[in-house]
Amino acid sequence: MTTPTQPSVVVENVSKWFGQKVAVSEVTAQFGPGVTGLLGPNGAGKTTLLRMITGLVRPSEGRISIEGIDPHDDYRALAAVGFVAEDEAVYKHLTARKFVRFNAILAGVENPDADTDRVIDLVDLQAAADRPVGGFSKGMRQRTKVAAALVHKPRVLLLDEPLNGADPVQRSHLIDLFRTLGSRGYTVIVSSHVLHEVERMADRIIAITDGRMAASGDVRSLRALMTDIPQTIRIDADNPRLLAAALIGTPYASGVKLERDTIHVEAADPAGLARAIARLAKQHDVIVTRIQPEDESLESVFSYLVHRR
Amino acid sequence: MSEEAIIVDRGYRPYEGARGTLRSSMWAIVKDGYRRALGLRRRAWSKVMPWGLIALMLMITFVVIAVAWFAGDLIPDLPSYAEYFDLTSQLGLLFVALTGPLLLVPDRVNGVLAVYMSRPLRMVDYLLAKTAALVSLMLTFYLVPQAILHLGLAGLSDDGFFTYLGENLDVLWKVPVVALAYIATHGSIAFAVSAFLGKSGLASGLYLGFVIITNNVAGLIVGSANFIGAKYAALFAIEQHPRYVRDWVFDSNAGFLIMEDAGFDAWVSAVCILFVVAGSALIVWRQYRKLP
Repeated sequence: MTTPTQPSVVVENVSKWFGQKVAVSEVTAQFGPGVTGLLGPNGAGKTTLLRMITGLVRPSEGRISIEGIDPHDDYRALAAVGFVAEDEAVYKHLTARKFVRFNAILAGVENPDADTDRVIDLVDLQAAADRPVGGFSKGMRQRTKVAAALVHKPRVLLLDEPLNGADPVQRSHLIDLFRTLGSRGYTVIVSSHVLHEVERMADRIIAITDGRMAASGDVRSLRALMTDIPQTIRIDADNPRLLAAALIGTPYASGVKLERDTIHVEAADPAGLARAIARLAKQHDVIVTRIQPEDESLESVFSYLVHRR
Repeated sequence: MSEEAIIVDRGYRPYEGARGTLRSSMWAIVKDGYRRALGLRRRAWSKVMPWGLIALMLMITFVVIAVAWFAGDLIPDLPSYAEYFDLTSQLGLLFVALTGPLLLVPDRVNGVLAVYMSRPLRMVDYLLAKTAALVSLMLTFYLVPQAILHLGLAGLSDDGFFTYLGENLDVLWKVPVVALAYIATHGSIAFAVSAFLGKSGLASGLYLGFVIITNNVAGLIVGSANFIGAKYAALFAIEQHPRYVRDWVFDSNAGFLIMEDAGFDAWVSAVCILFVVAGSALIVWRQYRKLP
């Protein structure tokens, strides 16, 4: 097993094409302990990348390793992996408990019954565990799949759109679960096209568009790197009109908008703007109650990433 | 303490205990195949066809033994071990038509291949486990009634139970060899057809249609066509090959065979069976290596 500081999953210059269609192009990334969000619009190549990591699809070029072993050369590397596929991937005639138990036996765990009970509890599926999966809602099927992926206590968890169909309570529960696993040092890779979910789950994101890696890192760092796009800062103050007028005269504000008691400032140099606000507020005797970046959300960052292409 | 309070998994740790081997994973697939084929742990209607065929198979055996017991003197030409295959091979064909698609199709349709292949398991292991499930089921289907027949006839023998067994030791290898010829021919085609279709019922129907049509067309061409090389159409009477091998093994002649009519020796049928198995395996492998 790798030590926590080492990346568990390494993707090196990986490409995959299906005939003329390039699904993934020259992606290089490392995934270590914690939750990494694999983010991209539908068809961006997230699923193909995950399937390559799990050994289901062989890369056309490049190399993938899990804990130092290429799953395409040595399938035993997959003993450390739990995978939730985007497809249904369940036997509808089996009960959730039997399906999870079958996965436990496939994974070769020592005590399949105990491990099955443990993960059924973990995904909060006790009440429905003995009902056939065919009668489940989409969200319950997702939880069944998550339980099946966790039953052998994997060190690397790959989740392809795991929250699809789950209701808000289930989503919250699953997000907490993934965060917990990530915080305990496990490598959790979650693909999603729902930005706010990724934002809640992931410490780090890897954004993919058109099969290429667009960005990698935490959201705030990524936003800070986009120096060519002015950041929008929201300022609440007791005399916004006066402060807005003062800000217009500084080189730090490239645009100022006043909206009721709130000022929205576009700043190419947010640090300089912050210093200017402090100085101007003191100078004009204005009380500033809040300064907040408005476009440091994943949604803003991602839209910048996508629109820049 | 509040009853609502529960800690379900404090201190999650990766599994570091003993792990089952590849063989245990494959055995899990084989067992799942048995349950699926026999409708175990499923609704009642799933059990009707497989257990109905098994019951018919056993019924034929018990009828033969009963006839030998009550009217053996009146009916001296009871079905031999070779002829017994003729009585039961159509049931075997139906059983394969039912079982082969059930073993392969639902995994693809339900997208569960991704579940298997994200485990430490290769596609070849998965296919071998499915083949093992089919072969062992079919061997049981063919051999258990034959064993009952053998023991029944031994029990009724005027020479005594053990004398009969001693005099018929060759049955112990001949019956399994012939059963394997039937299973190899029927099972491999059933798998090849199932590898392409998304519905088990459709795969069963197409498989049966393929076997019946190739037999009839081959018989028609060999029997009535005059062109040069017409006799080679007999090679496509796939269902007849295990029968010819059966006659070869038992040194018997249990009925009209297209291959014999066309002038081929029985070993040609044995080679044809090998070709059918190899061809089917290639087809299934080419289809599955692209999946999931």
